[in-house]
Amino acid sequence: MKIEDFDIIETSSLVNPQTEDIQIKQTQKLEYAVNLQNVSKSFGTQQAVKNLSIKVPRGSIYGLLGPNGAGKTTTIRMMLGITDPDSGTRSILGHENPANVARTLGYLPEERGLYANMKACDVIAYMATLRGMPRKLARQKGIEMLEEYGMGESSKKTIRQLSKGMAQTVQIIGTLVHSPKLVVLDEPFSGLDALNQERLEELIRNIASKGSTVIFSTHVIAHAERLCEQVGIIAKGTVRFSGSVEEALDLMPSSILIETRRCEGKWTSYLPLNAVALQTANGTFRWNVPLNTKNERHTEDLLSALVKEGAGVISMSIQKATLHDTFMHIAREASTNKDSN
Amino acid sequence: MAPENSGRLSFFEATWIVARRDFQAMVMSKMFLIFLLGPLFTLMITAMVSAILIGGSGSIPNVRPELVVSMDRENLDRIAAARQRIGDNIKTMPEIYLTDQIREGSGNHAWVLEEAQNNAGGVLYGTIEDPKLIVRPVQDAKMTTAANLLIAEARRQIGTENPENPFPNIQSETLKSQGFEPQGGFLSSKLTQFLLYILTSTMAVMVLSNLAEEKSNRIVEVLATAIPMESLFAGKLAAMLATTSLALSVWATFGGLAWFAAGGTGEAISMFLRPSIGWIPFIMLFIIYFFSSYLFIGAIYLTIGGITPTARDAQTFTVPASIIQITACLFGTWASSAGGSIPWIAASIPLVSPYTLAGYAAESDGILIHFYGIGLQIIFVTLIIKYGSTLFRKRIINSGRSMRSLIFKKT
Repeated sequence: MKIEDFDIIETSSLVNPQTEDIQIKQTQKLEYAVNLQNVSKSFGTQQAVKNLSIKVPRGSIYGLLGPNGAGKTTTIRMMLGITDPDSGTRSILGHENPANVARTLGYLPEERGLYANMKACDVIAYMATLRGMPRKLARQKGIEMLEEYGMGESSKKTIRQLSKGMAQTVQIIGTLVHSPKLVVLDEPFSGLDALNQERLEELIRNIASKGSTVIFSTHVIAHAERLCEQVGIIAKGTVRFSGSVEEALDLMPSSILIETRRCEGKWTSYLPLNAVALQTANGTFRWNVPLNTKNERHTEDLLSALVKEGAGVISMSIQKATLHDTFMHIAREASTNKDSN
Repeated sequence: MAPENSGRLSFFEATWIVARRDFQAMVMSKMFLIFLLGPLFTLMITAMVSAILIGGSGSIPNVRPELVVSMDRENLDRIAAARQRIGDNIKTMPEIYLTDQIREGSGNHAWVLEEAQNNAGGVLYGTIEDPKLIVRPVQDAKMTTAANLLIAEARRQIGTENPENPFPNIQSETLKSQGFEPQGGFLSSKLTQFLLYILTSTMAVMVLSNLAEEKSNRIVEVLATAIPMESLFAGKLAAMLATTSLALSVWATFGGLAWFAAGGTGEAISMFLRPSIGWIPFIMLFIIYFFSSYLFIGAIYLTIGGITPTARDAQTFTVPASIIQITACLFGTWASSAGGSIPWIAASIPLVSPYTLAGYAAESDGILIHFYGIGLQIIFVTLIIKYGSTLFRKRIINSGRSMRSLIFKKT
């Protein structure tokens, strides 16, 4: 067993004034805001999530990535106690039962909607009072947050009178108004225009900077790449990868992009067997050669041959793998497994 | 220092918050306005139907209470002459029905008043020199005055009046309530049952549509992470109950004001509506039976809304529920007037019980059956709310599942 399998245990000593005995009180210091271990969930004969394990470090921004139907929403629902896992263990902010920390959670569901006839400030106040915040304070803070996001004039408007993006902002504010310690956003960027997406990214960074943990699911990888320190990639109900973005990028090799005038010659023997050139509109050829980090000599030989054999090199660059590449690779692999099954 | 409470709100706190929001949302909605105007539409339709029926028969049925004068022919002629002389000078004079055909029966002519098919408010019998009067309780003053006037005028005509005290001061006998009151009690009973049905069914549909909104816009998922689902269930029921109570208060206030503004009197109301058990106990029982009936049917509708995946499925499921409700109401309507042990049997059946007993309170003065019925209803309502909220909590989030699995899977 490794130490990282456990939450850190902090011990402190107290003196009982009556007996003067020293009591040892163990306090669990929370390292992970969320710790799911081998959780599974089935609906009838369909297994939505299978032996899934995720650890979300406290105070981090964690991206839950996966194609449609991967099991992201089911995972989130189990995390928040909307449904209980059939098996496995769950720890949310140090508690097995998410209901015990309900006031410190913020949740934005995937399919969004609000009470159409309620005023924006009242909706926010209602959502906050459900989390134990006094109504008056919640209303006041809601109006302040709306003003902060340039929607001060909309606070007295009904949801019906707002645009889709504005309504979504109201719901996001309703999710955050009570300053939750753990914020779970299910596909928060869907339905937002580019400007609002950028504002939401900024908002997520803000929340995390105040010490809250943010988990969001998405299938638009660019958001995760810009925001997340940690990601979990889910496909077919299981975690295919969980770790830092850097670790995810390391899963895929970087590649050398070479543009040549010719596509034949002895130098091509240094290319991988499956290397294919794409002919550009100018009649040049573009090669994408995986960078072989294990055999640096091979790369040197290729570069040398390109020059010596007169391949007509126009440009050459090293392209690092993106999170999108990793995601696509994992998603394709999962899909292939499904097909082979 | 006490640790910060980070857990869910308590059941009652959460119920209060949900109920407050739902109540405000419903009262501020256009639907509530339509709901408030509902009785007006009912009155308009009733008036239209009545106009058609009256138009067809060519006459307005006489519902003014009559003073029946049952004497021999000679006395009747004098009474008729006296009535003619009094003429229209006295506006409150009832219609006079003269007959010499009434058999003595038990001797006090009470049976005339106990007949369901007449408008008799009192019977004046005996002779002009020795008159006797029996009256219905609510018609006491009106019938006694009319009888005294007629006898005084008749005696004056034949010269037998007492010059020192021309007013004869007939001692009247008031009919004792004998379990079954014709007309007033019967009408009160049926109107009560109709009102109970309309209120509970409308409320249940409103509470269902309210829940459907939350399910369709997924707010219910946010609620599920924040509060116990039983609170959502209870909060919605409580909000609708408060909404209905408000509507009832508005109707009662405006109805009362309109009635008295139009010159109506309390006595006039009691001509048509006369609960046998008395107005105060009747109103109290009506409130209890309304609460019971509403909580029962509301819990059923909420459970249906909670377990069905879509609003359309919920509507489909409410059809049999509505049919059951109508059947229960009709059965209760019949049972309350059936007599014997039937009201007791009906009071033992969930859903039928409130209709039966609300009607029974109007028609009969028995009180024991209400204790029995209320006791059972508390049990029924507790069970349905408990079972319904459990099912609601377990199933409300699992939308998208097949109807078959919803129906057949063990809970």
